[in-house]
Amino acid sequence: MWRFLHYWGTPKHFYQLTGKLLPWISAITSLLITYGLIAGLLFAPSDYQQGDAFRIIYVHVPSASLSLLVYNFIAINAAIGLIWRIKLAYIAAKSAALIGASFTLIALITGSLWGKPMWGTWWIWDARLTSELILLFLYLGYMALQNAIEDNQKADKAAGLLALVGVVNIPIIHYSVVWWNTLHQGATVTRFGQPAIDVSMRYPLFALLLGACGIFLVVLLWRMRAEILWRERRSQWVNEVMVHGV
Amino acid sequence: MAFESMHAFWSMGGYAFYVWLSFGIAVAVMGANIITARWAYRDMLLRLKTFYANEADNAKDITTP
Repeated sequence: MWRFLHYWGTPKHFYQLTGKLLPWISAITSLLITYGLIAGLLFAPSDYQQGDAFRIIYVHVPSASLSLLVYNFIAINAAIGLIWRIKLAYIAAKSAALIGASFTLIALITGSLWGKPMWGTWWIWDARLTSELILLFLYLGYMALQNAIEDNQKADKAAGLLALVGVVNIPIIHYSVVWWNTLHQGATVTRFGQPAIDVSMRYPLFALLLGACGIFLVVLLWRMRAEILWRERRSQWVNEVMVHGV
Repeated sequence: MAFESMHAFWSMGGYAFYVWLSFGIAVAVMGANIITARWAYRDMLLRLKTFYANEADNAKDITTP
């Protein structure tokens, strides 16, 4: 297992492997998103309380879930980088930041667009919304710090520490609707036992959730491949990639 | 189909502005992410070509008496 991870964890082998995987991940992601959008927008029935406004769930929930997931991904990779000094972990953390911030931004905007017709307000400073906004600032802070320091090693370490400190916000976001009395509704999909959403509405949601994971992977891998080439530019294998094609 | 007509589909039960703007923003932001990631990779290849060309020039300068 460790030998397997060590082999594919080297920049050269990771670059070669992802080159082969990317078309497949892109194709599966396209299928999932196409199915999710068609089923969610055309075939899922209207909600008995929210009418067709509930369809915002198909962009809001995947983006909000991914905003948390991607931050955890960054924090785990930052920790791996800081503890075991694995170059690829830092590259993964750096490459994931922009897409994570994008998911957070979409979650905030679509939440606001959903809140106006349902709650009568675009924004309220309740625990869930405020902690999600703090998450966006953490992403922006991470990216700013990473880009402010020219030396890659120092930038990786400083931004990695910031990511680890900020991870305290993740459980706060997740449990904010349980710990405090918020305007935001409680868990619907991840509720233990039976989810509070019908199957006809749930399957498109799961497809779009997986599709969002696919988009994250595709964007992450493209960015990682670019970053790997630059950081490894003095290696013989990158020279060969440039000469013999990608 | 959950809708009786195309008009009913586009009007989203009176919530068209909120629903379509949400989907529009999500598609635009995700699309921009995918495109810029591809561009970043393509730009990196060009940057590396320049880097290797400069390295080759420097090497030539050193070896030329």
